[in-house]
Amino acid sequence: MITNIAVKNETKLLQLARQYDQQALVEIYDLYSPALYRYAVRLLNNPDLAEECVAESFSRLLSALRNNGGPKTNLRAYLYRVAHNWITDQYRRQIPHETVDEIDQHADPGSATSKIVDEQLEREKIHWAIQRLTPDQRQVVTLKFLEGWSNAEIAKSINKPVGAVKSLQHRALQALRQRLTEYDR
Amino acid sequence: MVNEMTYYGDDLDKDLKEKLDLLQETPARDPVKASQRRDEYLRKVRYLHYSKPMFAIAGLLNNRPWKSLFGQRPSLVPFAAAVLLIFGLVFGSVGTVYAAQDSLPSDWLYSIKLTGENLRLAFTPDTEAKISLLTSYADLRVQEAATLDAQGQPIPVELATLMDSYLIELASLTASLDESAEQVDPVAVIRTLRPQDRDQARTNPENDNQLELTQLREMAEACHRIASTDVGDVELNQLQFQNQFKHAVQAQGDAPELPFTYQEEFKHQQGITDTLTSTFTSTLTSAPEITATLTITPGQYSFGPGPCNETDNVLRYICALGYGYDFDPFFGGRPVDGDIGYGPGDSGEQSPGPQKPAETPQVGDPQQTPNSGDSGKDSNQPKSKP
Repeated sequence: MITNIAVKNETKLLQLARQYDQQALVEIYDLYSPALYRYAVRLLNNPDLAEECVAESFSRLLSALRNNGGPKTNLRAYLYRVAHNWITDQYRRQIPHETVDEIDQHADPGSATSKIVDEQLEREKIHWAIQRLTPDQRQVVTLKFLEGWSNAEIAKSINKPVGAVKSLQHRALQALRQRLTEYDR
Repeated sequence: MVNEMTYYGDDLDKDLKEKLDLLQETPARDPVKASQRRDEYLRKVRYLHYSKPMFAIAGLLNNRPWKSLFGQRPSLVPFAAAVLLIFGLVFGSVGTVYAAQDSLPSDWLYSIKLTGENLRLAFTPDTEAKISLLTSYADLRVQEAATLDAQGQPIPVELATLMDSYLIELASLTASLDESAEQVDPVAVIRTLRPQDRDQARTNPENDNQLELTQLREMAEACHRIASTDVGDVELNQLQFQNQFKHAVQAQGDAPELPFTYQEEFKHQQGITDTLTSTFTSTLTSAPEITATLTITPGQYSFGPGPCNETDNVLRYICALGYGYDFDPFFGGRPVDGDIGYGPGDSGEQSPGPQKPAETPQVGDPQQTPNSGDSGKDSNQPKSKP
């Protein structure tokens, strides 16, 4: 949840960024890139791709500012939206990722790492299920339950009313359970 | 039906929450990669900042804010906008532009002056006229730097950035001219330029203005040489490398200010088919004579042999930028103890001065020399255009 102070700071930063103020643009990067990285790595399960996602999101922000476009308000929501679109494109390209079997091979049987491997398998499973949600559902689930955003914040980010967010969230969780069941079969 | 499931807000049950919680933990961010990405972003930010006037105009034209004034008559919009723009440019801004004519980089009117110059350039259809304009702008920048110096004001590094852009623009313009024109050796051009200034700068290391002024004069003269002859792409690249290298090495002293425009413009340089070998002698005041050989072939690069340890990162940075590779100061061919030379498979000899291109294995070659580091991997892959 972001506070009013944070919103005011963000608005001020955005105003300065629109004038290509170097310090403001650097502050924006330092402020949002760590969280954006976590968001990306959760969804992509790949640190290198997550770094690329962050870099591309900020690059697109600069391009938008250069063309006198970009966010007028709510910079954070804009950055997450750009990152989300980038991640969705990655999913569409069906990037091969580490499979459960491959992870299993990494484990040392009978060692203390087996718990870690189990966790990794579970993590892989939930990733698999999240990847099979629709882009909107995936965004709502991630922002709500992993990033801790409020429904109102999510609504701003995806340009939908709060009611639609709740509905999306409900359907997303149903779909997620269904996918997890499919995975276990 | 509401069953026994524990609710954690909205309709997230305990089992699902536990699963999602597994994703809460994320792998720690690699500080080296994070820092590289940040540096990359900073270079873009600086480029954006210094190119502000042009982008502001481009943004204005793209957004067409006058559209809302003529919402009911869309067919009139382009015509009316053009008329307004021409009137605005011709009459409204004449006074301001005139007043900005004599402004210096330290004046607030200077950006208007640059914008005026850029507009004039944009509306000049003839290639030769454009070349002439660009060289006159290059001379003007030198004059401005000299005036600042005479007034005891610092010469901003942005002037060198502007000069870079003229070189790049001249390159593309001259490439379209007659191919039979005289060919010049750009390395010879840069080496023979104003030796007295270079010597003066070396004997007076405290004077940063002198270094900048020398650099600007050399670049302006390079602009003239390129404008008056037909310098091929490969030679021009070499010339660009010379300039950028010199600038970077000079700046390395107190506050490294490595070039970024070069990266922006040459990141995706195509069509280089020959191996380039250049020998650089730095004007670094803390190490007066550093000579290193830079060898570039498509897809790979190397430095050395030569006592180039002092300029390790700068050299590799320039090379990596020039050919669109990610620069990684911690990988990419850091030499092992007792060895000299960088990049995948340099020759490792230790005699200074110009050398033959090193025997460089192909990128990704498993037979890479021990000092090739990881440069055959990610750091050597050309990046996609943003």
